[in-house]
Amino acid sequence: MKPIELEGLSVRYGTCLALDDVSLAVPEGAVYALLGRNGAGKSSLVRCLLGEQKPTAGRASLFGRDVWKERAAILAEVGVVAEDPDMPPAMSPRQTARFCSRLYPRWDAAGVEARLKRFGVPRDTPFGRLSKGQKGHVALALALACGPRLLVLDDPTLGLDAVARKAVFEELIGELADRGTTVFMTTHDLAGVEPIADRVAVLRQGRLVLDEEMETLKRRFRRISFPRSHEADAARLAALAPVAVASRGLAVEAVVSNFDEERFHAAGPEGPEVSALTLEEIFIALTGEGEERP
Amino acid sequence: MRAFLAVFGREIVERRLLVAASLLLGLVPLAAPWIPGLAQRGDPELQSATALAIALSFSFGLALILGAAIIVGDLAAGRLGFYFARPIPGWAVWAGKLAAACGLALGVGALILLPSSLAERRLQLSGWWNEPLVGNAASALLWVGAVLLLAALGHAAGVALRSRTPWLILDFAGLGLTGWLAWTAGRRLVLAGAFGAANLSSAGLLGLALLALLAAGAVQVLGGRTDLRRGHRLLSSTLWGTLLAGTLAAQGYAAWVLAAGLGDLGHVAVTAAAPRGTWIAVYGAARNRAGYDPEFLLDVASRRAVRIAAVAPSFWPSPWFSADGRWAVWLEPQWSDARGGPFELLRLDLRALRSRPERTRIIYERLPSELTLSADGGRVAVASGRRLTIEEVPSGRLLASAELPRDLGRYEDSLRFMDSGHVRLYGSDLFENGDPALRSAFEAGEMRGAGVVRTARLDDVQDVEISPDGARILARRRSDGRFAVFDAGTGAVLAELPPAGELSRASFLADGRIALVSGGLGKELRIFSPGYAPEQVFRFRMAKSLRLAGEPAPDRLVVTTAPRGPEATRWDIGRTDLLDLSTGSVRRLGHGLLPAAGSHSGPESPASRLFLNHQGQLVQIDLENGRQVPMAGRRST
Repeated sequence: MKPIELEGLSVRYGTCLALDDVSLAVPEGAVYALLGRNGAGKSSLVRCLLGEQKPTAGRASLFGRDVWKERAAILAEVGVVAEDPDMPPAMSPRQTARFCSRLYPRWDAAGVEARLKRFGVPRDTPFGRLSKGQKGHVALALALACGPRLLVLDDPTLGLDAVARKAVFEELIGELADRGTTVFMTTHDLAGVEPIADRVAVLRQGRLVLDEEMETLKRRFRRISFPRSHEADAARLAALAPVAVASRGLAVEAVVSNFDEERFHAAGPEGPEVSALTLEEIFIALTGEGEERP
Repeated sequence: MRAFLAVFGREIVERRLLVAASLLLGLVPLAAPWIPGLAQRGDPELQSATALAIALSFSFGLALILGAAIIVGDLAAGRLGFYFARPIPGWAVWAGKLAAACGLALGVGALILLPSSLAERRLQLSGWWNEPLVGNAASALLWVGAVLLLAALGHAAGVALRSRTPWLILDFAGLGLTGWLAWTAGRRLVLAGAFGAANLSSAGLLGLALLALLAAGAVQVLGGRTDLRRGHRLLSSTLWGTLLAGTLAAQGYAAWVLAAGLGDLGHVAVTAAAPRGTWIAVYGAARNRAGYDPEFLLDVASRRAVRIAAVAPSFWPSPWFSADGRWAVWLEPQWSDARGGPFELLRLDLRALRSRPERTRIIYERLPSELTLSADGGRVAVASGRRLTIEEVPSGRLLASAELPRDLGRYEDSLRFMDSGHVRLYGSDLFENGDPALRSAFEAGEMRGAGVVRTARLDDVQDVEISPDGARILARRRSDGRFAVFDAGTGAVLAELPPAGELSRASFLADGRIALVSGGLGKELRIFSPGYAPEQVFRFRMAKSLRLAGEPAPDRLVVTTAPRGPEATRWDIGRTDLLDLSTGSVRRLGHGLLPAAGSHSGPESPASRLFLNHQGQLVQIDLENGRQVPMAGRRST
């Protein structure tokens, strides 16, 4: 019984298809990062995942239960950080925590206090008067306080400065180390998520174009550079499934998606220069050519 | 329930400033007696009335505003996800927020009333509220219902206006269509005088509107969640679907109520009978139709019945028949109800086999105090607002109009066509309290040229009756208790009848003779010739009361007597006898019969043979054998 399973999920707004037949599964204890450009359909997917929005087609399940039908019962075990922190603006973090404490059976009030203190968030200031970073910290503190089996984070570092982003990810790493909670996260902070994500998926114009283990992904994506005059290298490149090729002066630089180190070096002792890619570089290579949708 | 209470409590806490504001507002009524202008009125209920006005205004206004904002505001600002991303059932979000909006609206109202209640110990509202407001459960329920309705209405309006989807067009179309259906259903019932059914229908629709708004709001929140467009679609389809079904049901109910036929009547009453022919007008409560009293013109010979939508007979008896028995006319309300105008005169040709009511285009802005039809039905005379008018019925042309003189009696009792161009008006001049027993004078007048001239004034009389030809007046003088006959054209005394006791009654018979019923226990019926000579005496020793029921044939008189006994007068166990004035014989017709028409009818009128039996049925009596033929009404069980 996987924490998250999406089967053929589609969401349509009028004539616009925001999600197109998306299926994925997140195993227990995984940190799953869903990446995509603005308008790729990530927020629609998260809303369907949380039972806030009914998909046009398909089904979203959490822990094997249909989330649209059993939302309230399922969410007792799910901590959520929304893309835009949506707490009532007149309520202070302390009041919000008190409100939430009545809803969750395993509420960790002391944990909320401790995290807010650690983040340096004033507990009695109305939420509407907190900075964006402080709002994000409050949202994360509340999401972690319910003792969740699953954390759903919709771009939790959006608009945060580097220090605040670091604090968010450190908190997540601590939670993962302590409890092994399953995490489903959408984010644009690829550098931040790279060290902690086990599995990565990429949404492009509503379609899931990639869904695999982070380790496998990074192993099969490489940057290859060779002089433009080396026709043999160009021939070898075609077998590695290039996703992006660019000329840089007298050299050719390509990103390949099917790199096999053994086969590559077996072709000759000398050859093109090969280097590893960051998650951000892979993401750009995969999605950079597409047009952003409004 | 924990989730509901959490949501409810959170909304209340967030708007706690309203509590302080309402307490401050509650102090305003205490200052009312010192406010210039208000203070001069010196109304002892001023403070309470001011407090109530402020409390209700704020309560209702707040219900509407909070209803429109408490969920839709969060939804439009993208904050409703805070609730839906937590283990809060959708119903708890809807109910918790709605309950908070209503609780705040009611609480604010109560807090505004509090200072005035404490200052006066209770609200002084007895002058315009039968019961004290505080403790009046019905008032409190109405208040709660109104607040709930306004909050749900505000929510629906908020969703429709904030979502800006094409469904807004459906909202306006639904509002127009269901409003029109509800209005026309209610109006049809009101115009027909079915006020009970109209009230039932209105109350039902109002209740349905409340339920539909609550259900639509719930469906929107539960099914639409954070999707405002989907929520609007769900809300609109639920709301208008329910209301359309409800208003169509109201239309069906109105049609069913108004389709009541003669056979649906329970107890019936005869409102009028043609002086000649076979037609009468009957009305009665239709069974299971919320007090609807339809009225029918009924041909007792053929049993043909035509429903007429006249002014409710219990309020203003009609119709009127022409003396030749061919035409019946009545007034039909044109706009709202029996008490408001205008009214159109309709007529029915009673001799045509398949005739339908015809509109005459003669419109009266208000109900006339008197109306009469000429002998051939061609003219109608009306006394209204101290003006007497005569119009030609087929064309609607005004033939004459005259103002009543100030010194003529203020209340018109009767109007008669003496001939086609000659109208006589009979009126009584009452003492100020309007008690008929204190009637001081009875007057007659005639239209002459552009004015009305008083022709007779009978001072200090009561129990007045006008002869069938309108030429004579029979009245009891209050000074000596004796009946006298007066000339309606001059006021001269034509004859005096012998003393008959205080409870005596006298009536003209169709041929000009006079019947005098003596007062006291054990009744005597004395008949006087048209020249006032005593002719016959009939004695009913065991009768406590005696009524003249009609003249079914020349020289035949039907009387109904109620027996002597300890109980009040019991007509239902009394007997009905046929008196033969030519031979002096008395023959029993039956028992438990009441004359169907209010006053006795002449030999050519169908009413002279119609009675209401003790089971509430209208029956026609066969004079030969006393057999009763049911005409209308159902037997009471």
